[in-house]
Amino acid sequence: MLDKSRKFFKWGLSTFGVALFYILVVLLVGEIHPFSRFPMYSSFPNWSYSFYLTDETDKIVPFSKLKTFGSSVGHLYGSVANELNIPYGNFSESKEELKQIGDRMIYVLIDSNELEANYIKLNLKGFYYQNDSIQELSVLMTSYENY
Amino acid sequence: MKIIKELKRKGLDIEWVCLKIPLIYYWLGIFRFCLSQNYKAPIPLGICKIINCSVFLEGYGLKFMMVASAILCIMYLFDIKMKWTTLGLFCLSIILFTSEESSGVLNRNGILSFLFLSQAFAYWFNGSNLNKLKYSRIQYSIQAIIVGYFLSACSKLLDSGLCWANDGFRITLQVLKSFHYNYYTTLNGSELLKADEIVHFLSEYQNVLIGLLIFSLMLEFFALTAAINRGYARVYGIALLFMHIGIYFFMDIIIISFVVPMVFVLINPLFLAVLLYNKIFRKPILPLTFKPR
Repeated sequence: MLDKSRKFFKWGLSTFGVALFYILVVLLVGEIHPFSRFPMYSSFPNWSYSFYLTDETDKIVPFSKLKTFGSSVGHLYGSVANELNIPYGNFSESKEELKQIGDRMIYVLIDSNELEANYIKLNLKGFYYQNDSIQELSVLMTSYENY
Repeated sequence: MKIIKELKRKGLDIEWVCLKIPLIYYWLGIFRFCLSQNYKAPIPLGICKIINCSVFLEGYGLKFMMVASAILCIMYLFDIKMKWTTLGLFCLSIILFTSEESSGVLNRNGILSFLFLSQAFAYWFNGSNLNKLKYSRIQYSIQAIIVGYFLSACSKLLDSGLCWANDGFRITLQVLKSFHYNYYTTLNGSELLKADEIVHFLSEYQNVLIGLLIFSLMLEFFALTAAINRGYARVYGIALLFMHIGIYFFMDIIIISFVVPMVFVLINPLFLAVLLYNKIFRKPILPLTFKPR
């Protein structure tokens, strides 16, 4: 009996040991690379944000000009909001908070990428459901002038 | 012949070779891409809170990362000092991908980094027993992949409960976001047209959408069972691949850092191709695969 359970334990350890190790470390340390509980799409809240840049004439400046991607800027929003301890989502951010996050986002974007435009505005475009139909909302977050 | 003899001595089988060649090629590709992105890690996370990761992203640090990655890749390909090579690859992965996350880019490369740690476990714990090593370096890699899926399912259940799929109709908001990201990157107007089409489709066939979400949740939740048997793992990998293709087709969402290592480790298409080639044309030079005694 003891031999059987020892064999079963050995089998379990070799079959699931590495996975178990990962799960335990995630429980202990949380979201620290490479450990994550991969919460992507773990909920479907009634909001989503995308971001875009415009110039002084309100013409959209593609992110490709900054050698970055829209999705990267979207992730940056969450990272910056977390860094500044500003709760985000569901259009709950105040104008001041959006400006604070936007300023930091522009700083990070320009720090890593060359900006060709002299003047840019960072805008947020959000989507949400109201009465079974999707609504859009665009807000100017901040603007930046390149001296 | 000499090379083949040496490979045999190191206990290489085709399955392992076919796993590691595309894996290291892919890793080196995204590693070089990340290094070229001029990240500065302005929002330190994880290990970048302890060490200054920006040192590794410019000047001599950058050169070190490039040279070290190239050397380690060659060592990995030729199975040289694998205990240290896999650990080295793990460390480089941690530094660079944490720097990437610290620059606000969440590409979710955690599983890829952990793959090397899992292989290091195999070499450290079973290095003295060739039979065990041959089995465990692939089996541990499989575990490293599937644990990500399992935890992803757990996150869904913890954050949304069993109603996760019922809220699925709001995935249209995520779809809109995703296509707008694409549009604002290139200003290609067809992205917005595609978004409209898909949102319309998802709104019209909500029951199908909920069914697909339930299926994907089940597939993720039971992913750990793929560790039990390698043949079953391959079938499970194909099912997961179909899930990813479906998600991409309907929602334009694909998490490359999940899909590619999963395909290499669970399905191992290169190995399947060699298997087919051997079956048609000739007898295998190296042992095809390994079953533990």
